[in-house]
Amino acid sequence: MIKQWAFVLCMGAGLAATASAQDPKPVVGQVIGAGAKAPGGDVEKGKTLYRTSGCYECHGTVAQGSPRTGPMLLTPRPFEGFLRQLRRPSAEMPPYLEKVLSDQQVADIFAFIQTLPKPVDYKTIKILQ
Amino acid sequence: MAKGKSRVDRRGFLKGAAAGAAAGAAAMVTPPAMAAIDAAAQPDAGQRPVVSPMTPEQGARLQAAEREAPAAEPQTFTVEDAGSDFMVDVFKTLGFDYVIANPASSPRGLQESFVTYGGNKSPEWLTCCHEEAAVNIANGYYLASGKPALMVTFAPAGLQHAMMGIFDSYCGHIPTYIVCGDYLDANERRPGTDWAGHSVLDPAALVRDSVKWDDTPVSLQHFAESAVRAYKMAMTEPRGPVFLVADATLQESPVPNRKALHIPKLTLTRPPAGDSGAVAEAAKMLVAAENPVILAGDVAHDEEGMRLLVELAETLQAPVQGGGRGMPNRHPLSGGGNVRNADVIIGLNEVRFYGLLHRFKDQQVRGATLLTRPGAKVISISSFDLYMKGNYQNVDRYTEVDLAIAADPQATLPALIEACKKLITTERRSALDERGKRLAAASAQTLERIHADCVNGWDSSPISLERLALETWDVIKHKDWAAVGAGGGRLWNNDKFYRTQERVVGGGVGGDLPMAIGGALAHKKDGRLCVALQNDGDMLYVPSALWTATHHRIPLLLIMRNNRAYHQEVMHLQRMSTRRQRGIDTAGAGFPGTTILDPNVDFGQLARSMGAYGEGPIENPKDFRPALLRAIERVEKGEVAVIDTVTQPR
Amino acid sequence: MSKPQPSKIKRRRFLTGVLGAAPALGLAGALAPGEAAAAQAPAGGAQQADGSQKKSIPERSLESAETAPPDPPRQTVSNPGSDFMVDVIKTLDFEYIAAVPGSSFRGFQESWVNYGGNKPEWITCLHEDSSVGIADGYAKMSGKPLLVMIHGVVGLQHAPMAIYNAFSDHAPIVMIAGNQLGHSAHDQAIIVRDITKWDDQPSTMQGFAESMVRAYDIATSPPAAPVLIVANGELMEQELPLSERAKIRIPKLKERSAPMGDSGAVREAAKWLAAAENPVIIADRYCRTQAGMDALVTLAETLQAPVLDRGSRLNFPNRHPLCHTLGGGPAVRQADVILVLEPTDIFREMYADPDVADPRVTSKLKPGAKVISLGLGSTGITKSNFYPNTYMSGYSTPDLDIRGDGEATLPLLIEAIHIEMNGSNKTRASARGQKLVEAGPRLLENARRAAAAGWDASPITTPRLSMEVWDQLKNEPDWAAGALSAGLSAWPWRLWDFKRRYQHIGGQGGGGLGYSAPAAVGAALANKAANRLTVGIVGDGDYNMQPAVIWTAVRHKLPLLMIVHNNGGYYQEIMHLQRMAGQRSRGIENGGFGCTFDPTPNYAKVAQGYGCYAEGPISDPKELAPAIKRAIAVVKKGEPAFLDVVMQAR
Repeated sequence: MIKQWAFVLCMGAGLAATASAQDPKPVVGQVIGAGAKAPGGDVEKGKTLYRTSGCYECHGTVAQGSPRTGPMLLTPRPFEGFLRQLRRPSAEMPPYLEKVLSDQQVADIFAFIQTLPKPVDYKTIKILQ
Repeated sequence: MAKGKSRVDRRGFLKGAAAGAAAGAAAMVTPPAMAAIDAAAQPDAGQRPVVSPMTPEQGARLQAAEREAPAAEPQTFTVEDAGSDFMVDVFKTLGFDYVIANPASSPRGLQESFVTYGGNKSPEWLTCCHEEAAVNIANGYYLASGKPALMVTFAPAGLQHAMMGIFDSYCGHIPTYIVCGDYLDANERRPGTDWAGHSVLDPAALVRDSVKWDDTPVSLQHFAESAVRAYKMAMTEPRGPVFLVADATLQESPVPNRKALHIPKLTLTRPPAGDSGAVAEAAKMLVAAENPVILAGDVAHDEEGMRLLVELAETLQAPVQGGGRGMPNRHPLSGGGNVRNADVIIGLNEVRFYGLLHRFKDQQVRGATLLTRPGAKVISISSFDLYMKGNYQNVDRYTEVDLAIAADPQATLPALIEACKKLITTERRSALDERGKRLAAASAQTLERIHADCVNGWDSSPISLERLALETWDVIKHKDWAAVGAGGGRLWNNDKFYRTQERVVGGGVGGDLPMAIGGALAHKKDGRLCVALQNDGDMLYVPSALWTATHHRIPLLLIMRNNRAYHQEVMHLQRMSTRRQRGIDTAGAGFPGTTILDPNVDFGQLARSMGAYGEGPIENPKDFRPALLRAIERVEKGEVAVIDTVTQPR
Repeated sequence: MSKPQPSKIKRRRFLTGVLGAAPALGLAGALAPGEAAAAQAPAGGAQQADGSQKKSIPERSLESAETAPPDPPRQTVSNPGSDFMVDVIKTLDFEYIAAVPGSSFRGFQESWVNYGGNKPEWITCLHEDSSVGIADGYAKMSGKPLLVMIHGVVGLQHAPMAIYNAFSDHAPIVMIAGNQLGHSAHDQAIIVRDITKWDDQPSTMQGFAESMVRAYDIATSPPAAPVLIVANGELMEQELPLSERAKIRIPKLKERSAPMGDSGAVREAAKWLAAAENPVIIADRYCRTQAGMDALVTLAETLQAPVLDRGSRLNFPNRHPLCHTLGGGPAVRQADVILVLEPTDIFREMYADPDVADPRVTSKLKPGAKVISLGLGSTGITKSNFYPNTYMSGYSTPDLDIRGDGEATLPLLIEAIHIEMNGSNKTRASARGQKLVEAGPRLLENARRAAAAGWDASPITTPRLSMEVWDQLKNEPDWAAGALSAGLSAWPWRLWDFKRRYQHIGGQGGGGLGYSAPAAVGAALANKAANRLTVGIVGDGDYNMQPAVIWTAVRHKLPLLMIVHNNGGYYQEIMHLQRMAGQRSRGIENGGFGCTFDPTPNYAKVAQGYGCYAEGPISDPKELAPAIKRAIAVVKKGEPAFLDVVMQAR
C-alpha cells in the first residue's frame, strides 16, 4: 500500500541542497562532472531515454517538475551540474551511474530537455490569477 | 555440523543501513573441510541432485572437522562491548531501582550486563522463583514508591507464567515495565530448547490486550528509542504496564558503533485535565447539592493527590467513599454518605461505578436495581475513558451519567476546588459546615459502632478477624507502620498516603504475597514496619516469593488470615448447592476443590523453610499477642516473619 | 445482566423445534415423536411386583409428551429482538446507516425497513471496504459517526483496511457485525481488535442496549475512532416479548467532554511562545469544528506566528496572511519555538530521514529550538501492533508534551498568551507579523509561476486540472473537497481558496489505497442535506480498488463530482521501483513493471456501467473547462458526475 510521504514542500526552481556533514566525500582526482561539456546530444535518443529511464515519473513528461517529486528542469543550467546530479544526487533522487546511463546518454537527455517549451508567463493565464 | 560462531555477521543481520555493503560481502564462509564435502555433493548443472551416502574419506574428514577448529578460520570466543551493556546504559537513564526476575537463557546477556557491567545497582537485580511473583513484586513496589520497576522474563513460557500478574498491572493501572527475551533470528536458535522454549514471532501478542504498549526492536538504536518511549507510555495517564522485547542476538552481539548510538531524552507527558466548562458545571452541581457523595477510586498518585482529595471534600463538606490511599480513613468525611439519598454523586476514576450505584443480586435470577433516587445527578471524572481495549472486560458495566469528564482526576482537582470555592457564598458556607458537622458525628458514631461490634466473637477460636486486627493495631500504632497488603480497614488509622497500597486489580488470587513484598521493598529505606494480613489461599500460589524476601533481606510481617480454604469459593459453592436444594457439608470433610485441610498447611514451617521466622498454627487469640511481639522483634531486626493465625472464615 | 427466565421450553417443544427446524438447520434423520419416545424410554423406574416398571412422574409426563401429537412449529414471530435493536439505535444520533447486506443480520435489516420505516435512510453499498470508507469520509466531513452494518466474519474480513484508515485518522464510526449461521466466530472482533478503539459482543438484549450506547460514546469521544459491536443473529430473530422488552433499560448517552491540557503546562507553553523570536505553529489533525479553525486563527494572530498546515484536516484558511504552508521548510529551520497541534508523527516534524540507500537522520531544527506538542491522538489510542505505520516513527522528544485535546485547550492557551503579550513580546510580534504578511504574496506568486510550467501539455498537468476545476468551483455558493489525491501534488492546497473547515478533510490516515473514492462518496453523503457540491479527485490506482462505489452515489443521488486522475499506473510504486533500479544500477527501464495499467481501463465507461453520467478520457487540456461545466450542471440537477482525465504522473 502507498504510504503518504510527508515531503517538505520545495518551491521554486533549483535543487534543494541538503548536503549534511556526513556526505561521503568524492575521491580526490575524481571530481564528478567538473568542466564537463555536453558532448553533442541526440534529441531523439534523449526523448526516448527521458521516458525509459523514468525521468518523466518525477519531473513530468515536459520537465515541468512537481513540488513533491522533482523540480522543473526548464531553466538553463550547465551540463556539468546536470551530470553531477545524476551521478551523485543530492536530496532523495535515486542515482543514475555510468553503468546505466553513459555520459553520452546523459548528454542526449540534456539535449532533449533543451528542446522542451519554456513555461509561459503565468500572468498571461487567466485562471491562474 | 560443528557449531562455531557463525561467520555470518550477526551484526549484518540486524544491521543499521551503514553496515549494509559490508554484511553483503561477508557471506557465509564454509570451513575448508566442509567445502570439500559440499563440492563433492554438488550436482552437475542440469542433473537432479543425488543424495548419496558419504565415502569413508568424507566421513573421516567430517569427523576431523568436528574435532578440530579449522586452521584457516579463527573462532570468536569473546566479545567486547556487548549489546546488552548498551541496553543497561539505556535503562539506567530511566532511573529504575530494581529489576525483578526469574532467570532464563534468552535474557542472559541482559542479566549479565545488569549485574556486572551495571554494578548490580540502580537497578539491583532481585532473584525470584516464579514470574508471577516477579511481576507482582514490581507492582507492589510501584504502589508504595510511585516508581515503576523493571521485570525481566522470556517468551513464551516465562511470559505465560507472568500473565496474571501483568493483568493485575493492567487492571490496576500500574506501570510495570516488562522486558522479554526472545530469539528472533532462526540461525541463532539452539535446536529444541530455543525453538520451542525461547522463540516467538510476536511475543507481545500473548499480552497485547493487557499492556499499554509494546515493541520488538531490531537494532540497538531502535531499542534505545523504544525503551524510552515505553517508559513514557507507561507513565502517561491512565498508567499501565508496557512490554519490550530484548532480542537475544541483539543482547549478545557486539555493539557495532557506539558513537552512532544515541539515547533519547525522556519527556513525561503532562496529564490531561478536565474541560474548564465541564468543571464549572460540576462545581455548580456539587456546591448546590444537599447530599453530595464523592465516590473515589484510584485518584491520588502521591501525597499531593491525597491532600487535594481531602481539600475537595472539606471545601464541599461532602463525604468520600473509597479513595484507597488517597483518603485518610479516619477523616470525619471518610466513609459517610449514602448513594440512595444523594442528590449529586461524583465518581473519580471509579472503576466500580455501576456496582456502587446499583444493587446487584446474585440469586438464581440475577438483576440490578438502581439505588439512586429519581433526579439524582451523576458526574464522572475519569482518565480511564481516554484509554481502553476490547476483549478483557475490566471496563465494567456502562454507567449512565449526567456529566462525563474525560480527564485525570488529580490533575483536575485544583481547578474543581477553585471553581467550587468561587461559588460558595458565606451563607452557603455555613450550611455546608452544618452538614460537615452532621457527617462528622455520624462518622464518629460509625467508628464507635465498628469497634463495639468487634466484641462479637472476641475470644473465639478460630480467631476473629477483628481481634486479629485490633491486637495488631495496638502494637503497630506506636511504630512507623505501612500496610503492604490487606490491613485493618477502619480499625487501623490510615492517616498518611503510605499507610496503605490498596488497589483494585485483576481479580486473580496469588498476587497479594508478592505485592506485599514489593511494597516492603519500597519502604525498606525508610525503615518502616511493613505489615500485611495474608490469606492462606493466596500465599499458596507463589510461596517461593518468601524466599526472595528473605534472600534480599526485605523486612516484612505477615499475619495470616488462615481460614484453611479458598473461602470465597466455599461460599460460592454453598450458594450453588442451596439453590439446587441439595446442600453441602462444609463443616466436615470439606467440599472438594475448595478447602485446604487434611493436612493443614503448616505456614510457620513453610516460612522457616524459606529462611523466614515462622510461628503457628495459633488458634487461641490469647496466644496471638505474644507471638506478634516476638515476630515484630524479628522484623525490626530485618527479617521476614510469618504468624500462622487460624482465623474465622470472614 | 438479567438472566432469561428459567427456560419454559419443555422437552416437547425442544423436540418440536428440532423437527420444525430440521429443513433449515439441515438436520438429517429428525426423530418422529414415536421414535423419540422409544429412544427416550426411561431405563429407571421402580420394578413392580408384576414385573412391569412403575414409571415415575417425570417419565410419565415425558412419555405422554412424546407420544401425543406435537404442537405445529411456529411460523411467525410477533416481536423480534431486532425491532428492539432498532429502537436502541434510534436513541442515538445517526443520520444514515450504510451496509452491504448479509444474512447474519437479516433480521435486523428487515426490522429496519418494516418496523423502523427506513429512517434513518439505509445506504446500499457494494463492498465493506466501501461502506466503511464512506463512513470515514462522512465522519470527517460531518463530525458525526455513521452506523455501518457488516456481515459476519466474511464481511468483516473485507473491511479492515478501511477500518485501519479510519482508526489511524481518528474518524468516529460505529460498526455492527452480525454473528449467525455460517457466518460466526467465538471472537469475531479479533479480526480488527488492534485497529478499533473498543469492541464488544453482547449476548443479551440488555447487553446490546448498553453496548450500543457505550460504543457511540467511545467512538465519538476524542480521540475518536471506529468501534465494533458483534451482534448475535439469533437474538435478532427470536421473539422478544413486549413484557420483556419493557424491562430493558436503554442508557441515556451524555457527550463526554474532551480533556484540556494541564493548565500549568499550558502556561509554560504560552510563556515560551510569547517570548520567542520565531515561533511557528504546525497543525496536523487538529481541526474538528469551525470554532476550532477560528480559534487557531485567533491564536496565530495573537502570536503573529506563521501556521503550517500538514493537512490531515483543513486546519487553517490557506489564504490567510499567516498561512505559510508554502514556506514551510525554512520557517521550521529558523524557528526557536514550535507548537505542534495534534501531530500525526512528531518525529517527522523534528527530523528528516531521507529515502536513500544510506539514510542519515538529521534534525530539521536549529540547535536550541524548543518543541511543544499538544494533542490526544498519538498517545491516546496506542494499539501497539500497528504503531509503526499508524502514527509514530522514530522516538523523539518534544520539550513540553501536553496531553489534551487541541480544540478544547486552545482557548486556554490563547488566554495565557494574551497575558504574556506585552512590552517587548508584543513589539517583536508585530514586526514579525509584518514580515510574514509581506512574504505571503511572494510565496503565492512562486506557486503560480510553477503552476504555469507545462500548462498546455498533454497528458494534462496536475496544476492545470486543479485550476480548471477551481475556476468553476469558486463560483459555487457552497462546495467541499471530499478527496484530493496525493498525486495531485497538493496544487489545490497552494492555489485554491479554502475558507471553511469542511472544505477539505485530509487523506487516508493509514496509507491504505482504495480510500479516496469511498471517502468522496461519504463526504458527498454528508453534504447531501445541504446540497453542497462535493468534489473528489481520485488516483486511478486508488479508484480501481473500489470502482463500484460510484454506484452508491448514483443510487442515492449524491452531489458528487468525481474526477479520476488517470496517469496509467500505480505511480508511487513506479517511482519506488525506479529508485531501487537506480540504487542497484540496473534495469532502469523497468520502473513500470507490474505497476502499469496497460491496457488502460476506460473509467468513463466503467462509471457509465454503474449508471453514472461520465465523460472521458479527456487528454486535451482545452476540453477540460467545458467538460467540467457540463459535469457540474449534472450534479446540480441532483446526480453524481464522473470525469476521466488523462494526466501527468505527478
